[in-house]
Formats: sequence, structure tokens, C-alpha cells
Amino acid sequence: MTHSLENRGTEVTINTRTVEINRDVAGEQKRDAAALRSEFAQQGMLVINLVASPGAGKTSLLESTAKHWAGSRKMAVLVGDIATNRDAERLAPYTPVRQLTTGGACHLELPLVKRGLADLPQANYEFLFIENIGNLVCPASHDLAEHLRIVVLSTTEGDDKPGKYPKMFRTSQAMVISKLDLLPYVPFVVESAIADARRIQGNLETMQVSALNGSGIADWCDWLDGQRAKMLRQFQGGV
Amino acid sequence: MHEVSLVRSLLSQVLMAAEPVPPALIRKVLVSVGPLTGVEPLLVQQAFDDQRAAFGLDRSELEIEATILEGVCLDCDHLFEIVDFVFHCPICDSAAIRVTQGDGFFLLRLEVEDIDSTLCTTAVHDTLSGKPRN
Repeated sequence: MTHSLENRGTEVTINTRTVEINRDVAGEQKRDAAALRSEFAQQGMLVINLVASPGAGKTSLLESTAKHWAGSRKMAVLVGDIATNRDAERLAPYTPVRQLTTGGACHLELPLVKRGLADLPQANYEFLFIENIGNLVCPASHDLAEHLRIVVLSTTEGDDKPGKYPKMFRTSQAMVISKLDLLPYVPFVVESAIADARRIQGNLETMQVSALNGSGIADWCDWLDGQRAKMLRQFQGGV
Repeated sequence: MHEVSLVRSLLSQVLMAAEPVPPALIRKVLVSVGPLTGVEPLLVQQAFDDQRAAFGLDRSELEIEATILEGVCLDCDHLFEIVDFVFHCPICDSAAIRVTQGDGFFLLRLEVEDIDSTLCTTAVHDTLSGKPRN
């Protein structure tokens, strides 16, 4: 395309041309995250990005996990919230923890995670849990260098959530159905939630827990051990 | 509202990709957004309009190209459009599907203006390219 305009009797020619780019806007962040994920694996640390709606029971699940392992595993938690240190204070008696406060942002991003990790007491952690901001939308678009993204779905939210938030379930490797103790009192059908989620992510692992009465917590912890062993085999050639 | 941070990243990448073309000569920024991108095109447009001046791109327009969600079956190689976020092969019902398009936010191309400097005085060139005059 060519435009022209007059200036003091001189014709100035403006040509419009196209510059082809074809670049993933999030490509650099994805490469950073992949490099860090590999470093974590080399260190033997399985990183779990725990995502869910607000109030789904992420912190309760982590509290139960820390109590179940009772120091037999080296774990740490980075817990994200828009405001307050309440979750970190709640978890502090059981595990090393740092609060990541976003001041309004609806999701965690990698630089914040790196800062939180640097602030944790230095140790050879076997498990690092990143409790994301309660939100089933934005956290799905941000790679935090995790090995596993695990979505927690509580029985009080309704079994129709997977289909309503497809990206979150598509990008997760496992779904933990929480607050199982409330199942007799709420209209939630476990099989429906699992079927809905597997239409989106056919290989999704599913677990059911109650942090309140402890059911399913041992299985969840065993599964995490298995996932870490799998990661070590993949990244360290079976060491 | 993570669209704002995404658009700020987009605008930085636009400036880098266009070099040595000055920001004022970037007329159009074309991006693609798919159903599984996790961003709302309307909010991307709004964030672009709000943020572009801070990057010297006041005169740039954003054009968003919508793409379909497409996947390939890893069992039977069938390439198909994924409708209603059902990630199952319509031929063999396999759930082993790799998404081939529609899950990313891509900077596709720029439309930039080239001023024919052989016919242009320095003052005119600077004005057209947005360079401030002393």
C-alpha cells in the first residue's frame, strides 16, 4: 500500500509493508519456566502448582499433607493470596512456608515464585507446593515451573465446574475432589465431575479427600511420592 | 484481568520485533487468540488501547484474528476441530489428543510504514516517524 502527501511542493511517499513475526507472546516466560523446572528436577524437588476456586480447601489439604508426613518428607509451601498472611500463619507450625501477596493480581507469576523460593530457608526440599490464588481462570495461563498442576475441586462448588473452566482442567494433570465429608449434604455427584473433567483431559488422575476427617490423605501422599519417584527416573536417569 | 500484563508483554515485543522501525511508524499489530488461550479478546483490545501510548504506539491499531481450536489424535492421526472443549477423537474416541492450534496468544505480524527518505527532508521524516524536534 502506498500513500503520498504534499509538503512544500515535495512529494513524500509512504509505503506500508508487512513484517511477519509469528511469535508466542508468552514464549520467553515458557522457556524460563522450562529451564527452572529442569533445575528443580535436578535438585530432586517435585514442584506442585495447586490451583482451585477460593475456599476449595487448598490450604487444608496442605495442612493435612504436612501433618501426615510429619517431618518424614522435606516439604515447603509458597502460598499466594491477594492480601493477608493468614494462610502462611496457618501452615507455619507444620512446614516451612512463605506468603506471596500479590496486592490485587489474580494469579501468581514466575518472578514472584522465584522471590518466595529465595526467601525460604535453604534446604534440599523434596516437595515444593505453590498454592496459587483462588481463581479457576487466570492461573491456568501461567507456567510456574511446576512439574504438576493439580486442581482441587470441592464438593460444595458443584460437579459442573470442569466444563465451565476448560483451560484449567485441560492444563492440569490431576484433580483432587475435596470436602468429601460434605457429600451427603450437597448436590455433587463425584462420577459426574470426573466424567466432565475427563471429556477435557482424558488422562486426568483423580483423587478424593477430606481434610477434616483425613480420608484419602494417605493415598494422596502416596501418589505424590510416586510422582516424585517418576520425576527422578525421568530427569535423573533412574537415580 | 491478566490481559493487562499479557498486553504489556506484547507491546514490548512489538517494539523489539519492529526495530529499527520507530514506534510511530507501526500502524497495525496483528495477533491471534484461540478458544483455549485463556484471554478475552475484548479485554485484550481494551488493555491495548489503554497501554499503547506508554510504548509510543499511539497511532497503532490492534487486529485480533480468532482461530479455531484444533487437535490431532495421537492414536489415529486424525486432525479435527475441537468443539465444546471435548478432547476426544471423533473417529476412534481416543482421549490422547495434542492441541495443534487455538491455545496460544501469538504476535503474527506488523504493518509498518516506510518513508521514502530520498524524497523527504529531515524535518518531514522526523515528523512522520514521531521523532521529537529540538
